[in-house]
Amino acid sequence: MKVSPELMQFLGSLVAILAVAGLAWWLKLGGTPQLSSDREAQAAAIEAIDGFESVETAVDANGNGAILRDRSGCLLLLKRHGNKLAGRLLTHSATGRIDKGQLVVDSGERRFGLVILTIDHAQSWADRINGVRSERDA
Amino acid sequence: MLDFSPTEYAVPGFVLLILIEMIWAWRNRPDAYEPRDTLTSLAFGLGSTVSGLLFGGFFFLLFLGVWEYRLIDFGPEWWAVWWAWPLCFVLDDLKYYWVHRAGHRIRWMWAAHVNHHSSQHYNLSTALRQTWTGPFTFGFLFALPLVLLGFHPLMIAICGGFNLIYQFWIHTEAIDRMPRWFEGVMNTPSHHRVHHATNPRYLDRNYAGVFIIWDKMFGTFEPESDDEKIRYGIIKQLGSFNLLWAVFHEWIGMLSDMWRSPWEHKLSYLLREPGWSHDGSRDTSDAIRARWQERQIVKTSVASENAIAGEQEPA
Repeated sequence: MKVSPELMQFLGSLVAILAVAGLAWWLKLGGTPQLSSDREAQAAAIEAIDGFESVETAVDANGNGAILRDRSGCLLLLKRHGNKLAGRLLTHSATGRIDKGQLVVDSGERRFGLVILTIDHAQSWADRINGVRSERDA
Repeated sequence: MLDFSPTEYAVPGFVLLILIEMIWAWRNRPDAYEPRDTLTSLAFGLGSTVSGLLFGGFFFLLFLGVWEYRLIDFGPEWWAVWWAWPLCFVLDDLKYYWVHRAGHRIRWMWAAHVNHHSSQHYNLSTALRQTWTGPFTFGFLFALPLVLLGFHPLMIAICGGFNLIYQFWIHTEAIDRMPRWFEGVMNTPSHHRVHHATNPRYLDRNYAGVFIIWDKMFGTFEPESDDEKIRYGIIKQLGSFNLLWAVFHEWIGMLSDMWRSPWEHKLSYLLREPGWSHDGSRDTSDAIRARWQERQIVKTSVASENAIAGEQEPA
């Protein structure tokens, strides 16, 4: 079977990039960021949404994310993304529910994924998230 | 005729430098790399070469057609006119500045360029996070003045290739600052870190490719501050390593905005700056910077009021 040089080059490059990414993994580059305090979550929130001033913060017990509320009632969801954090202001598309005592947040963006938080007062946070939706629907 | 592609020869050098930077990260800054992010960046690089192969020929032929109407004729051996090369390189870099600026200020162009900014990391692999969808924008128009001036499309392509190679090494946190004279004229890791930052003060700054002088000339230069930690990526971080989503997310967002908006606003979603919305529900980079500046003024005035109050306290 004759393989075109372009295809060979493509396959060779594919192997090379997998090898380089594999090396990053083998060297244990990256690590895992963990939110360990309200203060850290608040700092991360300001990085996610410039000027976001939290008045209430709930950090996941495993440090995988957090949910925060500002004075105006806006809710900000933080989740771990690789070794960084990514955030979303929750809109009417978001939903919150309780599963096995944990808060499961769907930001409404499929690619952002579900965020599961082990936090105190999970039900009241779920109510607030769903409240954003009902406010819009009212 | 001359047939040379500098980027093809540079690829082994790119890989070697990435490996060296990874060892640096392993010893000093393990958080500078993230394996899945690296894989996404490299896959972007591979995909962009495929995109270039598929569409590059079309634009080359188009430019060759336009070149027939050139103002200046460098003769049949245009490649032997030595002074045309540095002139073309500098003018191509000026072109790069403007096409890059348009890439940040016009959503249609941003839809293709956002790919390069979608990593929350800033390392040499980020440099390879190149667009797949550039051919679907009007970026090629920016090269037409050079072609019409008389520079052969191949000369422009070669100069553009060297420009791209230069820009590779500046995507790193491993180098702090270059010598002062170099920082003054050339684009450097420090200047380009600013460009990749999402901190309000840095938004839409330092568009330069090789020579930072264009930003200084056109008022878009911002030096890196040692007092503020840089955050990389885009305003609304993707939160996903899905390659196809990373490639097409802004196109999907833009087309969906155009589809859903009233007729009179459809073109604005295509041609206005990223973050613009007809109902004002979103933020542009200008709005984010203005809000940030307002907060700095408030902070400064509160601090000075406190200082005055402190002075007035009885001893």
